[in-house]
Amino acid sequence: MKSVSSDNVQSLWDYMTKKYRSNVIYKASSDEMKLIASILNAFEVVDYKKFMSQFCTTIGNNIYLSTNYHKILEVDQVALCVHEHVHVRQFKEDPTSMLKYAVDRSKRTLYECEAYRSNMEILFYLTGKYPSPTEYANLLKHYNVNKKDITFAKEYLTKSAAIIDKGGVVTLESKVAIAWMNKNLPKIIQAKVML
Amino acid sequence: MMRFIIMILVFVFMACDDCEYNETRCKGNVAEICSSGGEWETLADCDDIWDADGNIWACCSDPEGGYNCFPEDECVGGEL
Repeated sequence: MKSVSSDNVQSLWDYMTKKYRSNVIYKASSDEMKLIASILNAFEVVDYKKFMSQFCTTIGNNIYLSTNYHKILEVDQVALCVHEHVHVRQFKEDPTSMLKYAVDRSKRTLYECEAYRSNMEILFYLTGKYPSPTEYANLLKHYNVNKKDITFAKEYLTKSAAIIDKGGVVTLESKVAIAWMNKNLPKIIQAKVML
Repeated sequence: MMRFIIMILVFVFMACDDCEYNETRCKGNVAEICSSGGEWETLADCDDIWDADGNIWACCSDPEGGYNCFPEDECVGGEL
């Protein structure tokens, strides 16, 4: 039984950050993130500790990793790397996307749906399975969206799951990461990583 | 002033492409889904789907309801 190693994950991060010109910063060492966490905590949007430890955040080209990042499984770290680079590309394609993300819950839902679809694609590619679309959709409850948005996310991700189950990959960053893994981790891919 | 108001109205009507959220459709070979904000958004561009088996994908009606991308030989009807 083979598994993705920490070194494999780091190599993918190196490749993706170079390709997307992104930067990886640990939240614990970021004064901006500590400030944002304090503000969110003050407005009772999200608890300071939870924001710092459980949520990775991407702003522009900067990806801020949570303090718990290294505690998650390596396959989930791969999925996270791809997920955050979806947000990097969304910003590059439309610099107003950050503003839309902040003020428009429907757009925020859409941006996150695309990113969560990449999680499903990567996990399916590596392990042959993924958490249900409903589980992913329910994660959006942490993003200050309403029931209609959650229902939309379920539909979007269910439709996406139908494509994934037939072997299709839609998201650009998933294609980039899969091409890299095919080239650099062929033995792992052949063995299909086990969770 | 009147000309300005007419221009605004024209712009608003041109921009409107209202839809019922979660509704899906095929626009060309792109599967679109109506967002919770009531706007058509791309679900998947079937031409851009990567597939290890090299299948060609097409947008067509989904047996589960609505529309989606499927390998071309599984398509039973489209809205192209």
